[in-house]
Amino acid sequence: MKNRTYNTISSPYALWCAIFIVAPLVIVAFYALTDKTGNFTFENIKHLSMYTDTIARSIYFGIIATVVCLLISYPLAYIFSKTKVSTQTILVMLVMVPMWMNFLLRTYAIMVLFEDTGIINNFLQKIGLSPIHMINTAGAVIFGMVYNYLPFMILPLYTSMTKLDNKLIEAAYDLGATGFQTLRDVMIPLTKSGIVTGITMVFVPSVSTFYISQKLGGGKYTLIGDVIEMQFQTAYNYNLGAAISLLLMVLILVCIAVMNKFEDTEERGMLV
Amino acid sequence: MKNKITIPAKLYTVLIFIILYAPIAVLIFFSFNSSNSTSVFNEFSLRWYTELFNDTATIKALKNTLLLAVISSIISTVLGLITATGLHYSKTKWYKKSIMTANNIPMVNPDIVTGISMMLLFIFVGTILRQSGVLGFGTMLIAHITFELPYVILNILPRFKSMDKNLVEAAKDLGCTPVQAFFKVTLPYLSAEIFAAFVMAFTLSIDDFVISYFVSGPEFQTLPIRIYSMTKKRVTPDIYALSTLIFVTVFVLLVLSNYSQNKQKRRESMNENSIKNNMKNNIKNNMKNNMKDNIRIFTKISAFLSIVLLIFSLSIPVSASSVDDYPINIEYYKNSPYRGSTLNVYNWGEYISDGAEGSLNVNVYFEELTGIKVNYTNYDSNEDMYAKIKSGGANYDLIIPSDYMIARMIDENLLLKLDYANIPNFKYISNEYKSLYFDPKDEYSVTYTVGYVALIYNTKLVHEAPTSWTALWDKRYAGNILMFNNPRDAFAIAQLILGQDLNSTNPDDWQRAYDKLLEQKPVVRAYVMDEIYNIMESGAAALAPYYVGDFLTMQENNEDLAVAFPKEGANIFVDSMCIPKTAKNKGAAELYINYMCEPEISLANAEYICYATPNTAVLEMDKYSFKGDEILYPDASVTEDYQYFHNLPAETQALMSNLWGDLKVDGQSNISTYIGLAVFAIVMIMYAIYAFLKKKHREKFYD
Repeated sequence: MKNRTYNTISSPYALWCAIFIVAPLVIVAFYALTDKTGNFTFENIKHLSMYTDTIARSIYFGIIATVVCLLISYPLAYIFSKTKVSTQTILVMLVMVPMWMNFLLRTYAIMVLFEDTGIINNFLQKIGLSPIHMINTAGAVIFGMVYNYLPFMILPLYTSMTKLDNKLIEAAYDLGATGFQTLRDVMIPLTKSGIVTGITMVFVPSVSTFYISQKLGGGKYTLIGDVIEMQFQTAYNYNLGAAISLLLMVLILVCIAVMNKFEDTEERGMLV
Repeated sequence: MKNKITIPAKLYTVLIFIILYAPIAVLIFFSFNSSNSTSVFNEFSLRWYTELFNDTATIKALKNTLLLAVISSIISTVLGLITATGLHYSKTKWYKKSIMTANNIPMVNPDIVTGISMMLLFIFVGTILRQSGVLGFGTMLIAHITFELPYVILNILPRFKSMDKNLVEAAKDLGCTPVQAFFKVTLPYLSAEIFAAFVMAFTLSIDDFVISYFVSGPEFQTLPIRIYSMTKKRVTPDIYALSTLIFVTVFVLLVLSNYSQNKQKRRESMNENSIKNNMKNNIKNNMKNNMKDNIRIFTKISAFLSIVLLIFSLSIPVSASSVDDYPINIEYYKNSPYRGSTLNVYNWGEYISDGAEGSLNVNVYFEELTGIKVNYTNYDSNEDMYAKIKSGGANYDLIIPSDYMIARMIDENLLLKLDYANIPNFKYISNEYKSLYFDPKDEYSVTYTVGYVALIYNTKLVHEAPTSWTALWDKRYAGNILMFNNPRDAFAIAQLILGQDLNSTNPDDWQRAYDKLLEQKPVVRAYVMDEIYNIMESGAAALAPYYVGDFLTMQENNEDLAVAFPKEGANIFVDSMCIPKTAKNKGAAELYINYMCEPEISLANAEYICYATPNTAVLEMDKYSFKGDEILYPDASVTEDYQYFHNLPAETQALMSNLWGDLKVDGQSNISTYIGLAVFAIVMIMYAIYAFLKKKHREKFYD
């Protein structure tokens, strides 16, 4: 078949992309740069400076959640990869099963656990410890992010660990490397693709979440996702909402671009 | 290759799994609770599993979710396969590259941005075509296909690359046409990936909340959206029951398939042991098998699960109380000319008797009586509802806004005048709640409920009954005070303390009220709306302002709660049934309003939602359990100086929302955030320098 035929085959999707992926983004930009009556304005963009604190907080929480996820998942994925193959299947399944429980309900259940008179504090009191105030704190919001997005970090890390040849680690030890050196110079470089994928998959939803901060933060920790949701659902200010979305999108693209600088792969498309 | 897993490693793994499963255990645990509280466990009961069968809205949402998941994942798999084929063989580089880039956008973009961008597109197209109510099944389907397709393509494309070109060539040499070659060679070769892609698309669709939230309309709600509107109000534990059923099914299927597969493997390995002596090969094969097994298991599970759920959801009978129980003019409703039409009702969450706990399911009964299909959806603030109506993205036939919002909507010409000849039951509405300030000539609205704001406190934590709103500023209760999470109600309390008019248009007044609220912020534990139920019921907070009807619901689950009527007065409100301008079925909406005013129906609602009713027939009924209740229907002397909210002019509204934004966002000390970010930036820069120097250092060696 000719090249043109193959291009024709994929053209419906090209059209789909143009209408449902590219055009909506153009419309977001259009809304961001106009006022309610449709006149061109920079007002919305100027207004963004009001949200500096919110943006800083979102990024900060996102970074902490991502780092915590990485620190938890890296050893876990390594342990997984060292078990028997049949056990590995079970462990991976066990990581995936919670995702079948609705994410909103799981977050809601964390609320029940963390309440001042909730299950954890009741337990602490029973064993004679003083209760800890957990709900509606920054820690609770970050815990919610870590909890919900942890599988997205474990799975890619696990995949890249299983590709890791054990002999390389043995060789490093044989050549006199310490445990830390092996980790730094052998394992981390070889699992870089998993790390980068994991970071992207945790960081992006963490930065943009609105449900977790609403439920676990008690309305005290407004994140960028909350502001967007508020503009669209409550305040009916689509133009400002679009401007904030545009900013969020740019922010994330910059973060991903920076991260891809660290992992120099040419293979995939332009964005990932 | 024997690997030792040390004890600490095992403990660590177990610990992580405990954390992963703890919230799920909580959900399962509370699905067996006998009361409807999600914080206090009474006793074991299967009640919510039976209630689930009566919860028509949830069952419908479940059906919708599965329907959408099946259709969208089939379409995206087929389209994705075709596209992957085209892309793989295409030699036009720029074309391939630009499609792949566009393909990556939905994966990298945050869901919220994808969601709002699609919503804006749909509304934009709707405005151009002068069509309102574009949001619905169609838009949901498009959105789901759009975010599933990239994953499908990325699943299939790599496998294409690893395919031997000669396979297809050989097929062609043997006389196949290119199309035949595709079906006979390529397709079987890709089958595992195609399945995996389908399963992934299916799972993504079932799980999606954020994107669906923005592009859904009243006719088509999915389970996650239903759950979201529930967690905003209070979650009825039948949702827990449903999740438990889904979870247990998945789990059992996993265990079963794993068991049978292990058995099979053992048999295989015994036969082939002698052949497989090359260690590396063995591992590789295992890896591959493992992947394939995963896919197979997952496919099996999803297929099984969806079948089980489908059968389950289709076989559920919808029960309504028998017609005789409710003496109303049946003929009037039976013979209405609107039989077979649909009615989109948009109401507050938990604001209708819905069949839970043996009550009447008002909507189902209406459907049975009239043959009109009711699409019932919820909002949780007047502003939410207003934004939906104003955007024109969705059509509703009946809404229940509060007083000031009705004034605003009449001002902006968003409401239709009612034909009161079609609402004979309007006669039951008490004169006290007719001709209110926002609708002086009774043209647009029929009062549904009445309420006012009161101060709720926990007698265990607050020893003397508070008499003033200033109790909410009391440092003795610091960290135990809840506050409204909506600007109008929150400002009203500060305004009452300052002795201002709640509808003041003087900017200085608002500024002072803002200062008052800022002063309160350090003692506030959380700004909440309906999360208040759980917090107050579990006794975790001492004081909170809230709507008095909801207090009665809370008190049912916690007897320590009491209510006070502060001396500064309070805000009184009515919620009334109205028909928006975009309504497509005005006649049926009027029939519905009339039905809601039927004494028996009104009674069922009044009993269920615990708000005061304006229906005089209900107020006289002896069986009405709140008849003469002092809290719901306080003496006129208490409420005489209570104030209604009025619609504020645009500038005042803007001022209020800006001040509210400042209160929520800027009031916090953010220094630690900036310090944290700076530390992180420094670490990253140092790492970059280190990596750069190391690279240089290494290059020196190689030169």
